[in-house]
Amino acid sequence: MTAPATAAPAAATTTPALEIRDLVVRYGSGRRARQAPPAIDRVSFDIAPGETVGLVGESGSGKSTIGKAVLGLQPAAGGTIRVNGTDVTAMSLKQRSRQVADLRVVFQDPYSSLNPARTIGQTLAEPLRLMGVRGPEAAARARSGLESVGLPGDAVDRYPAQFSGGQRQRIAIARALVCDPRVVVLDEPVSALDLSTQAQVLNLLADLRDQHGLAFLFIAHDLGVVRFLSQRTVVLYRGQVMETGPVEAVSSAPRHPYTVALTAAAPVPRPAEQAARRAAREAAGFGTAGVAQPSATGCPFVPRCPLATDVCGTERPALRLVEGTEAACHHADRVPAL
Amino acid sequence: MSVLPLPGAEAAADEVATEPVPQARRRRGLPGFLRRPGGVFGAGWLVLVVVASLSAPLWRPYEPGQQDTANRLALPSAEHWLGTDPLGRDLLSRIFTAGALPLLASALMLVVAFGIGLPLALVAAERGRRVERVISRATEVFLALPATILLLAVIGVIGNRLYPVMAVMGVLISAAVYRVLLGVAQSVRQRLYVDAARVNGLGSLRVNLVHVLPSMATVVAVQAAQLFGIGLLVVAGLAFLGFGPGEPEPSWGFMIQDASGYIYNAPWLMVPTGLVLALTVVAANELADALAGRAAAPTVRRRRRPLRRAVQAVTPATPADPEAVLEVRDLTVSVDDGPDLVTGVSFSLRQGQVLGLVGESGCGKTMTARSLLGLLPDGVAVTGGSIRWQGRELAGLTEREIDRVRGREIAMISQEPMVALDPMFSIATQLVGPIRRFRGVGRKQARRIAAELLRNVGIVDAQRVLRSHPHQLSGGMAQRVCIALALTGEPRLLVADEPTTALDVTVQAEILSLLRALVRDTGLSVVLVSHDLGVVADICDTVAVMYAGEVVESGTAAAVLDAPAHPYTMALLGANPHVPEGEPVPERLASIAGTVPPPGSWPAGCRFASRCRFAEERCTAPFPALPAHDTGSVLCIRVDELSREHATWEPESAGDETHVQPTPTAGVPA
Repeated sequence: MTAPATAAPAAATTTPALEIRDLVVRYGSGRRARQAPPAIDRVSFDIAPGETVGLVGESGSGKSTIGKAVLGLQPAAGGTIRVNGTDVTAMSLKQRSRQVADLRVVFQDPYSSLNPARTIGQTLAEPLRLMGVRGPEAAARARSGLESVGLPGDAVDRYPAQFSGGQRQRIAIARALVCDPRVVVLDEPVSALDLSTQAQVLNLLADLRDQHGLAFLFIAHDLGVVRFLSQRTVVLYRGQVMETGPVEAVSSAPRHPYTVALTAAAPVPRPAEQAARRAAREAAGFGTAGVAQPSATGCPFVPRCPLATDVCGTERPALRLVEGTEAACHHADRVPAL
Repeated sequence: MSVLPLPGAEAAADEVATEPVPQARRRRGLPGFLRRPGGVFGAGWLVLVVVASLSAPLWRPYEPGQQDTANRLALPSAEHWLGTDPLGRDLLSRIFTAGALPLLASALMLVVAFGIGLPLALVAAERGRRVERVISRATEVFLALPATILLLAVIGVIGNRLYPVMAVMGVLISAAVYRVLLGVAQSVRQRLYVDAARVNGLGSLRVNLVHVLPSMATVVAVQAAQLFGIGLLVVAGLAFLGFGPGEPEPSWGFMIQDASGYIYNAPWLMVPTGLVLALTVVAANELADALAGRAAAPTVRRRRRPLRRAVQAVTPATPADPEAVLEVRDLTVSVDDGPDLVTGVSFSLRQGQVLGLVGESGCGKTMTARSLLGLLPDGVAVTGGSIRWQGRELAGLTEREIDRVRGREIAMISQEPMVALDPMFSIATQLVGPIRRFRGVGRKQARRIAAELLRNVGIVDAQRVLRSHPHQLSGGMAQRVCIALALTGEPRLLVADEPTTALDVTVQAEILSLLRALVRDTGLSVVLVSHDLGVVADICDTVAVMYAGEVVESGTAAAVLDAPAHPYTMALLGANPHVPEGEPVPERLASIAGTVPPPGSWPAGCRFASRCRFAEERCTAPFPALPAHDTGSVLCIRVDELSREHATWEPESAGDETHVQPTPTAGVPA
């Protein structure tokens, strides 16, 4: 189930469902945009069929931008994106859907992701119609799609306004899955939901992934949620990969100070354990977010990093294998345990 | 280990996660704008004028040129309902014979204006900045042209032909139409369903037709109705100046011009034509207003309902805490003439302590917190119970009385720091005002205090932040400023409504540390509203878990979170994916079927019963809260049994999330 987290994808035996190599994304155009640091800076990772890779980071880290680039909603300025081995980097959205109908999306906001003026049936039939499935067959598939996410099939005649946030997110999942994709981009699919609804939707996603062998690119800011659903995780900071590896290794023994900062800051609902975590975090001495701009040449985390030395400000560290995870840190060997 | 569920609960567990799905509702009835008086008048009058004008040749009592020389400049009579003009021609016949031209010419202008403006707006919104810039610059040229002079020049070239002239007018107006619609199209395109359709591979034309245009329909209709009125005025104005159909053909503009010559001798002559023109233009604008939903809403009478219930006549599950600074007893908050939103909420808070109010959205946490400051929304009021703050009763105070407490003794910070700060003013301005008001100091002194407050909330370069405007601050910095703002009146109680929900976890940890330091150093008490049990575990001394408008479990944070007694608290903890250190991640998370019942449809007994796995028959009858966790309470009649049986809220087995109907395989782990 879990693909090996190696730096050499050529070693993998199966074609990855999604393969991202040295992806660069820039916002804006013109000379000023070319000089500014890119939103996504040389990011690479793979997702094997049936695997879930969690993309985590703070706001502004570029995790949603990667999702948009994969979907074709944001053009890539460099690098390649392959879906099942097909290079889609330069394809238009229409070409993508025609040649590789394997890529779908579930967005964060269950309210703006469904057109309020169209019935659930119309919403679900739209991708099918584009694949040439029409009429009664499309209607039947829309119904079974709804049933597969735990909603009654006769909901096809209703409008989004008649459903709660959790139900709408199920509908959005049904829309993503109705044409049997292989890769689904999940852009913060549970962030807008209440805890109990969030658990329902996470369980549903895990079930559907295991039933259909789906590959998920799971974008989230909550490491706990990522840990539940993912096999591997990619930690982003300012558009660069800080650490990547099996989710258990990254969350229980992170080797990058930024991952440590993220993990340590997530509160757990057990007061005694939380007090110990808080003490450990405060002792580690992480800098405040957004105080100073990092230098363009060095590690982006330098201004907040308690381990930073001179070399960190001048030389951007490459990802290297440290005890089971790959971390982009000059001092990965002396990163304190959580 | 889990308790075997009871027969009643089994069905609920099988029906995992399927909340009651609403029944299909027929979308019938009047469109919204016809439910407003302005919309009824506007639409009605326009339809009447259009129908009467276009059909005038069929029904008019006289030919428009027919002269009744005996009845010149007549007032309304049986023969001439609206009177006659200086040549004795029937006004009614002439007005409606003349109507077709301005109406049609105005409509032509609209077709041209939208025919150009709308597609340009859609293309500019879709194709991004470069295309948008080119189109926008081009339309600016049109906007800069003097329309009146241009129209007169066009008339000079092509002659006195109204339809081509109005078509040119449409071209000129299309620039303004484009401007308005561009903004709308851009905002609609940002909606996620447009992105989802594009990911599905929908072509550009269909994305626009199916997803973008319908969402713009209201704005288009509003614009069209307003421009239609303007078009009528332009046509009438041109005719007034003599650029209309010449005599003896009737036209509104010329008839008004004609009447202005008789304004002293026969003032009535102006009235019918003027009135029809004015009413038609007003009708177009009223219709536009109604379509936009801007029509004056019926004013809501704001009145305070007297407290319904006696204040101290309750026997709470927990005895009053003699050391408490804040003592809330049996608090009820209701909508005026509507359902209760919060019922029977009791909690107490000591000085220098933090109380957490937790629960899902729609459980009344925010309403409870806001009632402490008298900041309930319009039409919502405290209708029962008591809020004792340092021995003083706050429930039932007048607006003026509570104003003396608010900000000075009790302050508030909210979820969205950026919304709480005014984008127009610098941080210094926003801090100095309240400091001067609360502390009665001069401007200079207030600025010094402001800098000190910012340093107290952990802002190092206070002087730079004082000079900044809110948009120049990061979210975490803005929340620090909001906390400083709340501290300007030196409050003793801080109500914090989801203060860290909009922030990143690392920033959240910093803000929580700041709050903890304030509590420790100044003896501040805090009521913290949160949906995040981790935040509660981090900062709260005591916690009250709310469900459907009532407190279902309360006590010290350690007791409630480590040994939850109420099934709802157990379920919330089970749904949390943050597993303890060293423990494996569960295959599945515990979840609660269904959703929180809305106010007004709460059952008589336990409000959680319909979603509870442990519910049985007696849970549906009312029962009192029981003492628990030393100082707290729990609202569950089965609490003793559940604790004896070591009940836990376990996740359902794999596959259950997708089951619609109860199936034999949908087992519950034993």
